[in-house]
Amino acid sequence: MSAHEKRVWCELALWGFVLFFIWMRLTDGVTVLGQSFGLSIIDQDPVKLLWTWGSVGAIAAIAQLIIRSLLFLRNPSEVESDERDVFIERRSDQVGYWAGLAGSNVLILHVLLTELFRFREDMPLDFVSPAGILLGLSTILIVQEIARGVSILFLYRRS
Amino acid sequence: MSKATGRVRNRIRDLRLERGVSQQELADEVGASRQTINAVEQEKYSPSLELAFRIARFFKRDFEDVFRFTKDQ
Repeated sequence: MSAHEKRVWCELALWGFVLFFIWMRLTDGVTVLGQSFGLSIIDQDPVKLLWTWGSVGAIAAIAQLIIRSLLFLRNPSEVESDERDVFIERRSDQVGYWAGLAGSNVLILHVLLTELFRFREDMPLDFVSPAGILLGLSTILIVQEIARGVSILFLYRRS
Repeated sequence: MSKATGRVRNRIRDLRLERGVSQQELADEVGASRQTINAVEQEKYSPSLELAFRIARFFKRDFEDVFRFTKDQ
């Protein structure tokens, strides 16, 4: 397995953790290790939301930096990209773009249908609130990264 | 205009074994990774013209001695 594939595996684990963390923070339902996890969004104080968003972003950025630095320190020459690596990155960027586009449209459709068929106040996954917007957009961004990573791993096996 | 579909075939593995060169050595000489040379050998990845010429030059062969385009049936 090349250093690029190892990096992508580590980043996929990171994004999976970040997605899980955000859903635990912003939704209510099943309790796992003292954190709530479910399909009802909890409206929260904007300061707490800002803190969640900032801390998750900072943790993800620092973790990515650590992953890349460790791989570079282990074998600097392996981290260099050649034309196939660039080709695979480009193809995967396209997959990430389409995943983001699909996710955005699903979110728009969900918001519109929720408004159209609103029959009770406490609709699960109501993405109109600030917490809902944070959850919805963060999920799309992370799913986009996950789709990109899965595509990279797939293309390294196939091409 | 009819679309010509096919694939790029190559003799890199044969030429490499003939010269007793490892994938890593070839990769270092042409400026690619070992994984890329392996993917090209297995015809999973078609190299750029630049890389293909560098490979042909490494083996001191004409381009078409190393690579050829075969049309699909």
